[in-house]
Amino acid sequence: MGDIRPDFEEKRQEILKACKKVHEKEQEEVVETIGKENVQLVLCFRLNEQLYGVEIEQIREIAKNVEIYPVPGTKEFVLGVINIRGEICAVIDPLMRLGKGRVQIGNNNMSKELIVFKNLGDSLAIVVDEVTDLIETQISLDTNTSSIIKGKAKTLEGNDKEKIIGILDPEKLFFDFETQEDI
Amino acid sequence: MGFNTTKFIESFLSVAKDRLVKLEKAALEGDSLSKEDFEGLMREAHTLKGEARMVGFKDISDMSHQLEDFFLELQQGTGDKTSIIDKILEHIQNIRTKLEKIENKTQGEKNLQGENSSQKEKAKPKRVIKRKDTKDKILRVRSERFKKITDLSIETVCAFKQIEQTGLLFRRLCSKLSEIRIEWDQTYIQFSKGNISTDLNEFHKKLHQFCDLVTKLRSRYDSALSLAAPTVNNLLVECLEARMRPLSRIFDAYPAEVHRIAARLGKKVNLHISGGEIELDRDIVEAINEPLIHLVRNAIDHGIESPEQREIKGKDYTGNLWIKAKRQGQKVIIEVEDDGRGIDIAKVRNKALRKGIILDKLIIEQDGHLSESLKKLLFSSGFSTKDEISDISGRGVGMDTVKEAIYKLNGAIDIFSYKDRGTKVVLELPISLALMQVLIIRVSDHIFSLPTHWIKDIVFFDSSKVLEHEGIPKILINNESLYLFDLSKILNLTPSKNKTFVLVLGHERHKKAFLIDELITQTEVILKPIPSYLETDFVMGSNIFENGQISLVLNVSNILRIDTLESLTKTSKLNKKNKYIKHSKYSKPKILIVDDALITRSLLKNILISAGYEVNSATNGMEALEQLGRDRFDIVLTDLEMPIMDGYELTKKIRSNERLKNIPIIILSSHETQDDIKKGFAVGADEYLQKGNFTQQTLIEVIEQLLHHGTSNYIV
Repeated sequence: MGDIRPDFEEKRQEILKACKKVHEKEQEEVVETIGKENVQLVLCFRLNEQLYGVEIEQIREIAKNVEIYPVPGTKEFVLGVINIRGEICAVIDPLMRLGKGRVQIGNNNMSKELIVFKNLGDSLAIVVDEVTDLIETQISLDTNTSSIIKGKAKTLEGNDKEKIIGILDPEKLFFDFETQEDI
Repeated sequence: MGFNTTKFIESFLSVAKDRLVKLEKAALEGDSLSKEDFEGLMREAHTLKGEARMVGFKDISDMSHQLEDFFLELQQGTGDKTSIIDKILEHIQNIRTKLEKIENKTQGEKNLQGENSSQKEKAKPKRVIKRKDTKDKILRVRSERFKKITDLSIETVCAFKQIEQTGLLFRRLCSKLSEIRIEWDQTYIQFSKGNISTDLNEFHKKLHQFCDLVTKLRSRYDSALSLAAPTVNNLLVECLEARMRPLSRIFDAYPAEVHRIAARLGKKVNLHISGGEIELDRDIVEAINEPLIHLVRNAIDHGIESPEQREIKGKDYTGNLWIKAKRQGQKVIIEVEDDGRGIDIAKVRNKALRKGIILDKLIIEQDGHLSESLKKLLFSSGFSTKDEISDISGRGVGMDTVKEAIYKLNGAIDIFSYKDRGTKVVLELPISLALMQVLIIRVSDHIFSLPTHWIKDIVFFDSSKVLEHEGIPKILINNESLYLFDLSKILNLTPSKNKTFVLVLGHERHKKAFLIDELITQTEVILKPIPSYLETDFVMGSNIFENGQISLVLNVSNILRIDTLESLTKTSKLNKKNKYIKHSKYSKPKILIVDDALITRSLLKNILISAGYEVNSATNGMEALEQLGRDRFDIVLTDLEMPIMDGYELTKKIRSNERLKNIPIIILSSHETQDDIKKGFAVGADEYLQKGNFTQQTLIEVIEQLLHHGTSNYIV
């Protein structure tokens, strides 16, 4: 018994210390987020194993399992149109715009997940592989303003591993045809 | 002032009177007014001043200015209140007398035009009463909202039609049920000869009750439908009619336009307009305005000769220009015709050669028909016979854009020329774009709709009738050999295997045959627009089936333009390349007008639309920001004094927004002190124009400069 006690006490101290640390770190983070103005809610999604994000205020809704109807005579990256509760909405392939191949679309042209944007004039959407998360993060804007990826942000994924996600600029993604990403 | 304001005087008068009533009432309440009230009143007086300026009544404008000062005095509380209020009331009365004088004058002019002048006195009182009547019956609704309402109504009608369709299914189900009931009854009778168990008896009763209930439900359903059907049909008819606008809405501006162009080119032109009373969907009317102005410009610039040349040719000194509209079934034909020199074939050929295009068969037939290759050349982008680029025409974008605009509306364009006797351009347009008779077909794995008025023939595909002509397949249909296309290839779909039908599409002189997989049905659909973002030539809209499926409505006029599959792939690539540039640089510049006064808004809108811009308007800074958030604009034209958010604030907000900060901003105001102007530039405006002394000319110059060079050096 006498042997175990100090051992236990030691463990206990250790655990408490760790807890305190975590707590402090959390508080630090809270202070950090409050202190910085540029904190945004960002919707994260996966495209070919790569994570991207879009500020939530630019998004109208997320749709799932919608049939995409191809429209003849459109640009290559335009996948077609979808019916969102009676509204016709154009869908594009974001990977093609980023110069990274094509998004996989399921059988019978049924899309996995779609992100519909707002404030772009027309009703416009992109296809993604999977919507993963909604995070609160700070976006550091790129100095190169002509890129579709307008900035980067950090995300914590699962076991404390930080990941960098590219934040897309919907305006450039849909309209700026002069900039073709060649990363 | 450089433009015709008579159209606006009437609405100015009625709005101004309302404003005076408001001011008068407020002045009488003098003591109890709050700071906000005063601000509102001063704005009211200020707007009146601006409007009066815009329509050219300087005296009223000056008086309103004084009124503004009086209210300021009243608010500051300097001087004797009652005497100020007296002055305000006196002023309001004076303005009112002035307005009445103007009204009588315009009434008088109207009477003179309409009736014998001697009856003027007698007719006047009657007219005034009548006018009041109609005024009460007109309700102002924002066009956006109105469009939404009609769109929704049409969709409701569509949904109802689909419910009717399911009604058919229901009826079939009911008759099936009564069959089952009879069958059961017979079995039951056979059973009842023996001993019936109580269970069976129970079931028999239940079944009968159920059948009775269904029959009851059916009769209710039927009567509900038959009650609603005529109402719904009326709704559709009313909606379609409410969207109609007479062509005179755009035609009315042409005499001034023609006068302006002719004067600038030193030509004499008599304009004859007919058919202004013909009504079309307002979207179509608005969409053809610019193409028509293009054609008019072309006719005066290229077609009609100078008076001297005309004299030499033995023609009348003054040239003639006809704009004729007539209705033909579900179509409207608009002709723009001049009695000028006609198309100069030698010049066209020269120009084509210089551009490196070698085309024989550039022929104009005796009957005025142009050969296909000549037409194609004239309508191709970048083609103009003018040697120098003038600001009237000859920029080489004219005919190309006209054609594009007409095709977009599912219309057709043709051109005829007679040497030294003139040129005639004929436009064929549908009356409405909302409702359309279509044939639903399957091509490869996809369902499409085709407007039926393009369909000339449908036959079974017989491969023995196909013959190759210089490597291009043709098919013999009714003793006519037509070019044959595989629609799935044109639409860039996976090639279909079982081509069963051949559709003959086109019009008399221009027919082509297309292979398709299946005919599904013929029906009337409500056309839903597709996002303009798609920029496709092949699809003009869509319709949604009851199960939510989308069927795209093909733009047949564009599909018919395809010559051979080889040239298709080339042209479509070319087109696409052009379009990327077009989107960013050459699309119609879009202007946002921000002003709280309706008259200023509509006046500016009129000027800018006829100058070839796309125009949206907002009534205050807040609304403007909303629109700027939703849409992209190339220029903002704003007033300063406005409720909710004024022009200074709006300019500041735009300049501080990352996305919007580079939009050129023009302030158009009746504030004219140096301080105001300084403040305007300080918050970030690019230009400052004064309502009092600006002209159409300067406004457009300033806009063009800002659009093309980013800055203008125009200082008032």
